[in-house]
Amino acid sequence: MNITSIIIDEFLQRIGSQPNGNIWSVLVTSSLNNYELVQELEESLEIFTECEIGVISADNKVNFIVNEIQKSSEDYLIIWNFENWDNRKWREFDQMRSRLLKTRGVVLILSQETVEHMFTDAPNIVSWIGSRVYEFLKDTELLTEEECKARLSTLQQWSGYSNTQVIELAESQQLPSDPEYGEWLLLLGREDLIGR
Amino acid sequence: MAAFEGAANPQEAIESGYYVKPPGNLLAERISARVALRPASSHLLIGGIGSGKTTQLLVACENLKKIGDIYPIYVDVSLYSDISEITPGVLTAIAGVELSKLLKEDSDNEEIEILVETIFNIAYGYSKEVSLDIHFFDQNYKGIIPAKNNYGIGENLIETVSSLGEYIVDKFGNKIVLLFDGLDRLTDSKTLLKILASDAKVIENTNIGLVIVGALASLYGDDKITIENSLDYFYHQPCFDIQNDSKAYNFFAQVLKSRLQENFIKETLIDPLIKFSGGILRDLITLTQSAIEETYISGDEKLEQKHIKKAVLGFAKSQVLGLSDDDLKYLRVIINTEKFIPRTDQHIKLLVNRRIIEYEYPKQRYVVHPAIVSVLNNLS
Repeated sequence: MNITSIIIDEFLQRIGSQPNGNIWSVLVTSSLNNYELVQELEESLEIFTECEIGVISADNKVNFIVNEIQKSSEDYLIIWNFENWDNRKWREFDQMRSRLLKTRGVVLILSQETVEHMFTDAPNIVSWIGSRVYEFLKDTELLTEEECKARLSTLQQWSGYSNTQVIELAESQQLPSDPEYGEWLLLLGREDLIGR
Repeated sequence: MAAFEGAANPQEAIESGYYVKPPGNLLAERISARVALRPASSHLLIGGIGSGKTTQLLVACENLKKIGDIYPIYVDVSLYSDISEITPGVLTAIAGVELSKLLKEDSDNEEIEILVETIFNIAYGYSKEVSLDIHFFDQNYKGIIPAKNNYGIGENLIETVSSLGEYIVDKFGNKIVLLFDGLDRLTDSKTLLKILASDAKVIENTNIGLVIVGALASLYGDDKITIENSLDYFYHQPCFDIQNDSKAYNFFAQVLKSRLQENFIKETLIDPLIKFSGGILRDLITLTQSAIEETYISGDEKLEQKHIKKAVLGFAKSQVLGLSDDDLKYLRVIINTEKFIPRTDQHIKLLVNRRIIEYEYPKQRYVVHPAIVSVLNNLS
């Protein structure tokens, strides 16, 4: 059975709905160029969450990576480059779990093979992740036109504003800071107004 | 709803008022009552991932603080040392460092000062100027805690910690208790056994009380009986059989009610969340968080059955990741028999990784995690 597929804007929506805490997610990708994906994700997260994003490559000793994670002050971390991780490294990472407890979001970019290693040998980390494991659909159209309309309609009902009013509020810097408004602007193609 | 964060720090969850007292003979109360009567006793607590061991340890710690003349010290060993490389001696060195902290105020006592310096040198290493003919150079000595050098439990370490223990007993009486958390991530039961036979004995001999948390896997190997009998008291924290124990079920319902906003979920919908948690507290929290996430994503205002279904499906799909055909075959055997007779390390791993759940009360039985069962049915 395949894991749940996700596209970037749904992932962003999910992040927007998560509590402010030590929240870990996994994006599984078959993309050969993970770094390109990491860069895109970093950019999108920065715009959407309006917070600092840290990127850490896991291509190093586990102790070194854990220290990097501990030292980092960003509100959200993207950790990638796990391709050389064998079962021993996952076990080591799992045993250092207490050092990773911090109020911030973390997303691990893994391949199908590495996510299976993690689920076999890092049970403590896995117990943090729960169901937040998604197959990342890169280069897939964000939402179909119909889905986009439906989502905009939901947002309009939720807030009582129209699309035009939201743009006007953003332009006059009066838009509330709820993440739903960021998503709304993204759907309208006005991400330039996010963070104003 | 920040209340539903499976990876939250248990101490913060307690402080936020989310702690609900579990039913039955509570482990935290049993440990703290015994320690109150006999502070210099030793205790071993074994349980699975997400079963609430750390929370029980922290509650025991709080209970002991309230008693007044007992000084419990909570130590997460994994914050001190790399558990994957831990060897006998490390726990004793950590104990020495913690005792030194308590003696800091007596820094005018020269003998204590020397002991404190010695234990820090042993624990973290030091460098010393040595001479060779007319040349002087610094020689570095590695410490036992950070280094992966199989230091062992040397005489100097034992003597230093014992002397520190004597000063501690002089100052506090036999009232210090060290609660060591984190060794449950030590999957090799042979290493746990060595630590219990060496470090635990040294610490016990200094008249310091001791509570150690160990991994569930150690109860399913050849050393089970030796491990169970290695310290004065042994405790096992199984999962809660929410299907056959109404008190456990009500406890889980209470955990949810204490964290959910009023009227956000219908009373009847609490049932599937509890059922699919399998009686594992952390899974109850993460599943509920996922269901709340599904509610927000769909734009609904209240949590409904469809959101729970989506959350459970997502959880189940992730839980079958990494399972081999043999694993799936073995899980089907468990579904049919509710008995767990592990023949390989891989079978034990299925239990450790929460694919198989262990209940002890009202009767011992084993089930496959209910969220996975539906996926297994679809695969067959």
